[in-house]
This record gives sequence, structure tokens and C-alpha cells, in this order.
Amino acid sequence: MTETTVSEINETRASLYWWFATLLTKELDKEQLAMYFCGEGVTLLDQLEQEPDFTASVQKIKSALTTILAMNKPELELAADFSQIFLTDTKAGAPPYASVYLSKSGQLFEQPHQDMIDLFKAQGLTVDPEFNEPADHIAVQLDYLGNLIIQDVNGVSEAQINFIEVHILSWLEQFVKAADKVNNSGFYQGVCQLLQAYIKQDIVAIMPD
Amino acid sequence: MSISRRSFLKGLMATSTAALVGPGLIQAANAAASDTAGQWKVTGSHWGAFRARVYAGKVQEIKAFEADKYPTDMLKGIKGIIYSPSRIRYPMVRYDWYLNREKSDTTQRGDNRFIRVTWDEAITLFHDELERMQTQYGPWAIHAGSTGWRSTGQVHSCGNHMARAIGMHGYTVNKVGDYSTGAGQTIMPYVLGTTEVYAQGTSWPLILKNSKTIVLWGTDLAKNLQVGWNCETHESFEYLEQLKEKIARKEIRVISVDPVKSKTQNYLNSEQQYINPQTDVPFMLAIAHTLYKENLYDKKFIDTYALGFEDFVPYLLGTTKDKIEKTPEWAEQICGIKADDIREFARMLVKERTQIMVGWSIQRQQHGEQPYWMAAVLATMLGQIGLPGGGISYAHHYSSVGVSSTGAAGPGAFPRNPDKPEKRIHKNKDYKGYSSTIPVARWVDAILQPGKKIQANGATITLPDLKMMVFSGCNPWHHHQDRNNMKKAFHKLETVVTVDFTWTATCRFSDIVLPACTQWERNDLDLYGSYSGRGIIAMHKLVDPLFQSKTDFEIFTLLARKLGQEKDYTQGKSEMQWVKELYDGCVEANKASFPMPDFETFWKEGFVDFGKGKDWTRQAAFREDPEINSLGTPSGFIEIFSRKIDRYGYKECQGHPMWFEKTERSHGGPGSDKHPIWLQSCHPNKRLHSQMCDSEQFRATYAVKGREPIYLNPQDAKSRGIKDGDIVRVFNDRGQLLAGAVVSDNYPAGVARIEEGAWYGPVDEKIGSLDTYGDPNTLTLDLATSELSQATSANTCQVQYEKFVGKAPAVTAFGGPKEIS
Repeated sequence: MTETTVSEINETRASLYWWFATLLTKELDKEQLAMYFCGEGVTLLDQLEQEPDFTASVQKIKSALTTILAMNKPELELAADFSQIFLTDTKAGAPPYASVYLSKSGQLFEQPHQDMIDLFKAQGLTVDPEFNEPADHIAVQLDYLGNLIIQDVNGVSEAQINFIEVHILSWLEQFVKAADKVNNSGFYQGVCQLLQAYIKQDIVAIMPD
Repeated sequence: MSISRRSFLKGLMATSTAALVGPGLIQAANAAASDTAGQWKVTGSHWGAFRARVYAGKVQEIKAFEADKYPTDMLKGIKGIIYSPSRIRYPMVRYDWYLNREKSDTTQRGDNRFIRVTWDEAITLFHDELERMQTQYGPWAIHAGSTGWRSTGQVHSCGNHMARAIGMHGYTVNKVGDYSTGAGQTIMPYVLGTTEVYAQGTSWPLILKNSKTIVLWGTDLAKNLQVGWNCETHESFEYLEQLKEKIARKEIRVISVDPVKSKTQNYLNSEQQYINPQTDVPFMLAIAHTLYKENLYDKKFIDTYALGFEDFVPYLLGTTKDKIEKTPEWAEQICGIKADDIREFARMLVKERTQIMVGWSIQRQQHGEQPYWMAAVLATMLGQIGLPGGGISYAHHYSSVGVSSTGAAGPGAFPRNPDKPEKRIHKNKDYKGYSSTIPVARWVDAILQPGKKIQANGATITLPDLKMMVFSGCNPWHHHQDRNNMKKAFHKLETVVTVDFTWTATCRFSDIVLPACTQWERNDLDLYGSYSGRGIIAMHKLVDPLFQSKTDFEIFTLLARKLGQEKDYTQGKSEMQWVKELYDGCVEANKASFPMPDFETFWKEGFVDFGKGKDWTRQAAFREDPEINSLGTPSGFIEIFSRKIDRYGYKECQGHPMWFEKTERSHGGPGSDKHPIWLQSCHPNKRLHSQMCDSEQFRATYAVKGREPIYLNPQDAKSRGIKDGDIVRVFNDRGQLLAGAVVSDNYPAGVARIEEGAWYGPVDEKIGSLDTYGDPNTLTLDLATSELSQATSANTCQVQYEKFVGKAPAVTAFGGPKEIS
């Protein structure tokens, strides 16, 4: 395998993590959603569906899209789903913050947030003030992971593996379970499951032999 | 490295993901601060002043302000408010309302989908609704006047911001009175000339020096003095400590007239005069009867300082139309105190210097005007009003009442009204025959029975046909009575807008929810000691507003911008310029007597201390010369009989204090056969009303199996098979709730307590549904005290309870709005 291939694969991996980050950052607007009915989104989902480990979750996403498409205002329905899971009910929903799952207090901005802040600080980074979310937000973590990967032009650094294991896998399962408990179109539940399936495969793949 | 098996993804990025990936969330930081431990800042709160260590943009630890020698335990709950999972993080709109506006399915309220909107869209929606109301209906359709215990700080005082910005748009319905003291503040100006409930009382050092007997009438000082209207100083606790010592040395006798052994009684190790709930007036009348019959009352004082005693005596003697002589034997049957003990109590009151301290609980019940009035009559008969350590007070449990006043001026506030000349967009003041101001607790009646005429404090009120409610820093789904009745009312509302920092039940039943930041995410200043005027506290912003929340100042500036009046709203000044302006105004007001440092010094130091005030005796000036220092009553004297009230011709508040049977009452009273337990819903010991209930870890220190505690009498509990720690279902014909049993000897048979402010969390939106956390107002009665005050009667409430069996539903009160389906 040539170095170019490694770099290409890393670019793909980074892009996928960024794609997940995008989906979990905020609601899709009308144009963005349209791409999942007919466009790049469909292409991506189709390709991912072919991978056996991803089939179930991609089908969940696709089925949700079909449900939503039949509705009057698909983008608003999906936005309401997004709110229900991530933005409003932190008890029965799936708040996208590691602190909620990992700290005893059940409060926001607990140690996992602090850990991310420290990590960012050491590298002269910060969460975009416009976004203004705790640093342990799943989308921030995935965005950062994408950056870690893309910097590793020639392979997979220990930092990548470490970050995935310590900062993401420590709460991802609980997060995905929490999302699964919410009853709506299932789009974001599918996205969370797909993320989990992907990261599971990815960590195995990048582990040193 | 075995990444070759991943080659199936090759080329994916280029072909598809690029268009699907949004902008990044991480950026390069400005030059990193070398700060490793953080920075200590000072700020204030209803719970007291404190210093907070802020590191990496987060409040790390909190310690009480050093001048506060008796800080409340509740400071431990502060961080839990800031970082609560119940925080409102973004502007949210109820989805069905977003789709259908005023035609939305309002029966969904409480079981809702919400969607996030931008601030711009949220403010536009808010503005457009105000506009629609003014054009389609008129000022009578919008109620934007309900306010509550806003967060502290004079610049960001949320009620002022709401009133000013909405006032720039048009007129609305407003309220008079409040839920704490509605009956008291209405009756007392007729009797003693001021509200009394919000008045400075005789200084504690004079009480400690002169009183021989202190009667705590339905008041729990040690519980309620933990919080203050402004930044609290807790100096009263020093005096409670001294009082405790004096009791131990038998220098002062303190007797609580209370069905319950209060926190204060347990702390002071003082005495209790048990009384059946809601029967203070019969007890008081019988005391008056004894004083009269035994010729123990102060005739000279009555002749000099009071009017109408002769109109009252016939009622006492049973020669008026009820033909009942108010003897101790008569009272015993109602209040449960032996006739001879009543006589002894009366004799004790006149024996030496007696200070009567009345709490607010006994006026938060049906006919709540009567015990207040009758207590004043008793105090008048004792003749000690105006003497140090004698007389009567109605607020020694509140803020810094009783801590001597310095006389220094506190800072003003951000203006509540639009500046003159007004540029109000809708000048329409036509309320179509509806009243523009209604008694605070009657807005739910207005929604349900628009057009209904009610009597209130000498006026006839026509309840307006409300279509839209706006709340800011106000949680009526905690403080109003009868949740299921409220649900019905909210089905009729077209639009509800709420500004708050946390998902209260009010937010959850709203259509537009705007996230304010907490008071610790903004700069402000406050008076330190509401009645003592001890000093000024700087309120340094601890952290920037979390998520998409904004300060009240910013939120309503945005609304004003929409009206094209941003500059008029802010007067062109920023937050910090307002802080400075209010401080400078304070410097100016105090320059003759209290020289203050310049603003920069104050802000850096964090406070200005005015020192200790001068001791003072309430009504001493009146006692000294009742002509020159006349009271604010119609006659200038104490009015035992009020001609003014008599002329109103009310049935349940007549010319002098009287006993009226309650709609429901325990211990053999009406309704007690079916619902035998009196439920008291007093101010909480571990919250400020509903504030801090969302503080997860702190709530866990008092909750029982995750539910609000219900305090139960051991015998009552045992007879129902309930043990400490059990989950209990409490119910009556109005509603039902779950609470966690705390069995305690402090509570007599037939009495239970659930503290108000417990967040409402019904299992679903349906009328009658079970409240999962334990909000007592699920069970209380939405009934006016009388035609005079039209105030809340929360303490008139009979319930039954049983052990809850089966799987208890999850608590839904916290963490934001639920969607059940």
C-alpha cells in the first residue's frame, strides 16, 4: 500500500467523522435535507449500506427519511426530532454531552468538558464561540477527531486511538442507547447507531497489529 | 497497520461527503492565559453574597462572602443552577404552535414537540404575536404583568425589562398584589396604615433587651430568613442565636402558635402552643374575650390610638347577628386549645412586655385578612404598640427586617416604564370594558371566565378575555393554585411567551421559550440587605452566558430593536454603563451621609459597606404623637372597625375582624370526613420558592426516592402502613401527586407538609394526571381569600394520602419538556 492510499483513507475517515459531526451539530435545513432525498446524501448512504456492519443503521435512516418525506414540512419534522433527542429533554432524551453520562452530578460542564478544554488549551484551540457549546459535545469531539486524522498524513497516530478510546468510546454506547429510547422518525437514532458501528469498525482497523 | 480492508470507502469523500459536511466547530484560541488556578470574583444572590473561583470559563468553587457570618447551606446549590441539565439552551418554539400559530392544538401543552429557532426568528415571532394581539384584539388580550422573585441585580431586573420593552409596543393587562402576602398587604393599610408585610420592624437588639415574651404566630424565622429579596446578609441569625441563649437562661419566653413544631422552635428550643390549622381567629377572639371579660386590656391605649373598639365588642360578646359569644369554650371546639389554656395565654400576653411576630402563612388561606386584622386588634388591646420589644410585626421572618437600617440609599434600577415622551407604537387604551389591572391571583379565572365581574378592594373588576400571556423570570406553574384548573385555562390561550433560564413547568406549557442566562452570567450590582441597607455588592459576571442564552437586557433590547426603538430602550448605554450609572446615582444619593468610593474602586473591591444601622422601634413615633405622626389609615388611627371596608358591603370581609368557617378545614371542619389531612404548603427550607429545585445534587440532599418530601405525622403514617422513605400518593378531588414520606414528630395528627416550589411534573398533559415529583399546588384550591384582596388561599387545602404501590412513574419535572407519545 502506498502512502497516498493511507492519506486518501485518512481523508475519507476524517470526512466521515466530520459528516457525523455536522449531522449532530444542528438541524438540517431544507437544502441540506434535500440532498438525502436526491443527491450526495443518497449516494453516501447507498455506499455505506453495502457494508454489512452498517446496513441496519443505514436502513433505519432511510426508512426515517421515507416517513419524513411523506410529511407536510419534512425539514421541520426532522428539526423537531432533533430537538426532542438532543435539545430539550436531557432526562428522557440523549443530550450530546459526555458530562451527562460520565459525571456523578448529572450536571453539564463536568470533568469530561474540562478534559476537552485542557486538551484544546494545550494545542492552542478553542470551541468556536458562535457554537458556544460545552467542549464535551459529541460534535466537537468528532470535529476534533477529524482534525487529528487529517493531520496524520502518513498513518494513524497513537493520539487518534487514544482520543477515540478515552474521550468518545467512554460514553458513546450510553449516548446511543439514550437516543434509541426516544420515539420519533428514527433518523437521528439511525445516525447515532451508524456512528457507533463505524467507530467500532474504525478502531479495530486502525489498531496496531 | 491494517487499514487496507477499509478501501471500500476510497473515493467516498470526493464524490459525496464534501457537500454534506458543514463548517468546523473548533478554531485557534487567542494567546492562552497562563492562569492555572483561576480568578476569584464576587457576586450576590437571594441566598447571600459569595465569592466564586472561575477557571477555564467555569465556576469551580463557591465560598460565602466573608461578611456573612451565617451563610445558608443553599449556597451549595448555586453551581447546580448554572450547570443544571434543565437549562434552556436555545430559543425554542412549540412545534404545533410554530406550524399553526393561534390555531394550534393547545390541548398538547405539557406534552410537546419543540423546535429550535434562531434568536432573530424567536424575537420576530414574539413581536408578531404582540402586534397581532394589539391589532386583532387590543390591550385587554395581553397579560404581561405577572412577576415573581426575579434573580437579583438592579440592571437586569427581568420584570422591568419586560415591562419597558412591551410597554414601548403597547398597553397590556397588569396585576396588583403578589402570591406571598396578597391578603396581608391589602388589609393592613386599612388597619395600621401600611402593608406591614413589607415594612421594617423593631430592631432585634431592642427586642432582645425589652421583650419578656415573644409570640411567633405561624412564622418560621430560621427557615425563611435564609433568603432575601435583594442580596441577603443573614445578620438576623446572630440575633436568633442570642435569643436562643436568652431562652436557655429563661430571660425571654418564646411561644410558637403553630400546628407544627417549626425549624425555629427546634433551633431555639422554645415552646409551642399547638393550634388546629386555620383556626387562629377563634383563638384570637377568645383571647380578646378573656382580656375584655377580665378587664385586662389597655383602655387608655385604645382610647388614644384606636377607633372602633365599641363596634367590635358586641361581636365578641355575641350580641350581633351571629348570636355567638366568642368565649374560650366556644373557641376550644374549633381551635383545639383548652378554654383554660386560652385564658392563661391571654393573661400571659398582658403580664409583661410582649412582642407578637406574625408570619405570612395565616393570611395565605381563605379569609386571610381576618387573622391579620384580629392580631392587630389583640396587639391594640395589649397596648404595647410603639414600645421597644412590644406590639406587633408581620415581617420579622422576611429579608433583613429587624436588622437596623443604616438609612443609606440603595441603587436604583433599570427603568420599568418607557421614557417620556413615549413613542408607544399602539396607543390604544380601550380595554373594551375589561379591567386593565387585576388582582394577581385572578388571571386564571380571567382566562376561564372572561367578562366576569368580581369585587376587589373597593372596586369592581371585569376580568379581561386574555389571549396571550408573557412571563419573564416568573413561574406561575409553581406559584398559582390548582394545576388541573390551569391546564384547562391554558387550553384557551392562543400564545404564551416565557423568558427564563431553566425549563420550569411554565416554560413547558409555553409556545415561545426564550433562554435568559442566569444572574451569574452578567454584570450587575445590588443592595446588600433589603431592609438594613448594609451595603452595595458588585455582581461580577462569573462566566459568559452559556449556550445561546442572553441577558434580560439583551433579550428585550432585541425586541426594542424590532420596534425601531433600540436606542430609546437602552438610552444608548451598554450593560456596564448601566451598572456604573446606577452606582453613580447611589453615590450621589448618599453623598451627604455615606461617602462612597468611585465606581472603579467599588468594582475592584466588590462591595461598599455602610456599617451597622441605628436601632429603631416600629410605631414609636405614632405612640409619641398620634396626631403629628398619624398612621396611613383613613382616620390616622388604628382601625379596629373600618368604616371604609364596612361600606364595601362584602360578605367575607366586613367592618371588623370576624371568624368565617373555611370551605375545607381539618380536625372536624368541612370536608375533613373525606379528606382528613390538612396540607400546608409553606415556603421551602432548601429552595427559594421554585428556584434551585433544578439544582440536581442539592435536590438529592433532601428528595426522597427522587421525589419532593411530604412530612407526615407518625400516627397518621402508621395507620396507612407508611414508613419513612416510602412513596406516597396524595390526592383530593382536584388532583394527585407522588411524594416521598418523611415521618416526623414535628407534625401533629391531621397535618402534612409539602413545601411549595416543588417543580410540577405530570405523567402526561391530561387533566387529572398524576404529578410525579410532588408540587403541592396540584392539590390546592384556587379560591380567593375574600372580596377584599382576591388573594391566594393556598393554605386552605384538605387531602388524603396512601402508600403508593406498584412501579412509580419516572419523575418528569426536570431536564426540559417531555413528549410522552
